[in-house]
Amino acid sequence: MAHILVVEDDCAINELIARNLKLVGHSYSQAFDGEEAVRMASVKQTDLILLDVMLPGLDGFEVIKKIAPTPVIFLTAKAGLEHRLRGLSLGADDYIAKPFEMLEMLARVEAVLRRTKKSASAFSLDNVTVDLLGRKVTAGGENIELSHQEYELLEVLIANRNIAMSREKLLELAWGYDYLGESRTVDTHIQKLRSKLGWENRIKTVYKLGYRLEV
Amino acid sequence: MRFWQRAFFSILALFVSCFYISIFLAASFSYRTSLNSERERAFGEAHFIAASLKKEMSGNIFGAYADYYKKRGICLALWRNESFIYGSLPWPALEKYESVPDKQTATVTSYEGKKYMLVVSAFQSGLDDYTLVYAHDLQSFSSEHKSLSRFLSLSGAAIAILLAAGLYLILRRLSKPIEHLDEATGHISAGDYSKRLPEQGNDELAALARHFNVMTDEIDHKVIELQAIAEQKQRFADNLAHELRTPLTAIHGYAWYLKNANINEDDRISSIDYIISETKRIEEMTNKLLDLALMRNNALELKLVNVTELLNSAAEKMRPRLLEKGLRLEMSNQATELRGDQVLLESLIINLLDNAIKASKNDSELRLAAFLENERTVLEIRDFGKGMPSWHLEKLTEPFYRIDKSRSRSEGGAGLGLSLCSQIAELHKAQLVFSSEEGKGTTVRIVF
Repeated sequence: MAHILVVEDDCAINELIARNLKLVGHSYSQAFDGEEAVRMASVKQTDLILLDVMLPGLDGFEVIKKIAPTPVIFLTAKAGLEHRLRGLSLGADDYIAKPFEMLEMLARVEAVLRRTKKSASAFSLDNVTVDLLGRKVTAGGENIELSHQEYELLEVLIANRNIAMSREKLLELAWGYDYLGESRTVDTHIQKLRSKLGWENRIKTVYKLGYRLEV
Repeated sequence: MRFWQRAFFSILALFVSCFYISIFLAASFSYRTSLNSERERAFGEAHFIAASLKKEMSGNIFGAYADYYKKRGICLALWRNESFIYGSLPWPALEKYESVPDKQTATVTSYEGKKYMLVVSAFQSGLDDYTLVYAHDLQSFSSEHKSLSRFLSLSGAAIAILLAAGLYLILRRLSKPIEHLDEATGHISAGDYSKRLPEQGNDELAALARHFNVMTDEIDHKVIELQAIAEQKQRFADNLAHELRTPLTAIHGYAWYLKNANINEDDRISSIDYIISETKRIEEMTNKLLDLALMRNNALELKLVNVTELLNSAAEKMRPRLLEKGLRLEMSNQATELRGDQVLLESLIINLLDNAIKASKNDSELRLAAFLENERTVLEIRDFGKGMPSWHLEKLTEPFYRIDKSRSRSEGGAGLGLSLCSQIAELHKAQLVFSSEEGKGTTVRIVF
């Protein structure tokens, strides 16, 4: 799992981001101003920095110049084109405008990690191992056959583990925006995953919400 | 048509018509008087001829008279009763001219474009049946009159041209300030307030220019002021949105986290704590905004406040905060009383002390003093903390203004404290004066 440095001056929001990263299996460090961020990035091997632009002391644009080439996602309240271009021209990998949804933030983090080959190559739970690069699933050394759609759903559940996802959200993420299926489709696929992987107690049905892979 | 052109043409038209009317009147008056004298002369001559004829009355002699006078431009004709005896009139004498006994009558008659003075006289004393007609050619008289008229109208035209030129120059000169004014108002209506008018002279136009310049200065000033106010309002709105959005983002995020995430009891409770503290933050901010708004609308009832009591009370309330950082507060008081609202003044001092405490390093010193300066009471709060660069001072009392946004926020401020302070000072008609040096500390004076 990746190690991520969260740089944000507002305590509550910094903590919120860190907790969500922890949920899906990342480790993190926290910095609350620019100098601290530069110091922490040099001390510990970091795979990704979530960097607020408006920081006391050094601002985000100055911080990015001072750190070794590490993938950076800017967080900012100012979503103007000029701001965005400046961030990207300084070598940022992505840009998230505040306020943002946590699921969106996690998806962007995952996308950057995948692009920079820092994302996890495998996921193991109980006796099941998912080879995320080879798209293979084994249970106790034995191959498990999953349909394409079942595998897509499994991947979404793993990427957002410990977070309850509504059926609609799962449809959107695993099937795509333009899929016109019913939410019942999600239920049948979840049932199949549960029985094939023996995850009846891992993929929980959350009352009134949807499903959650609990790790 | 421009103003000077209108003035030019109307004055010129008025002058030329008045001038020609007077020329016409003068000419016709002179025509009439000369015609009168012409008639008098004709009467005299006709009388003379008649008198001469009376002495030696015969047709032959009359013929000689007539021939003689014809050479001098005078035509004669003679009737006896109804029969024409002799005449040298240029027109055929068909009828006898009616004559009045003992009287001459004069008329002007024209024939073939020429004018004649016609005098009809009856002979007196025994020769009553004779009628003499005398006709004097007015040719030379009317040509004289015509050349006079021509001279007058030509010289009139020359004078009118001269007048036009002079009028043009004068009006152009007089209308210069109006043109300047026109140009300047054009600039102003296009939004450029930098143009000013020349102010020489002391006539109405110079006064107008002066007033105009004063007015433009005033507008210029007001526009700049309004722009500053608009910018300040915009900053206020931006800041308010940002200040509200940050806690709302956190509240929304933690609520979502509580609802969706698979977390333990500790995480759950700390998330709820974040939601509570962020809600509190919004509440405090709205309370302070409300205070600001209320204070703006309310007049104060000022009472005499004992300064020693005021300072002691404020210091007492800040004691726990002072102890927390190990700060010493030195107090001195040379003032006795001032007019104000005890509660608000105390809140003002507490707010300023609170800022001073935040800026101070642990175990340092603060000063709270009251004294008289130039017959005005001054309260002074001084710290020896981190201070601030001078460019902050101007905006310090603006709502949400922060020198260091995260630090003051982590210390619980909403960025409204100094706005409240400046409102309180304003209600007391006091001035809030800041001075600061980076690394050395800040001094705030409330000058009543």
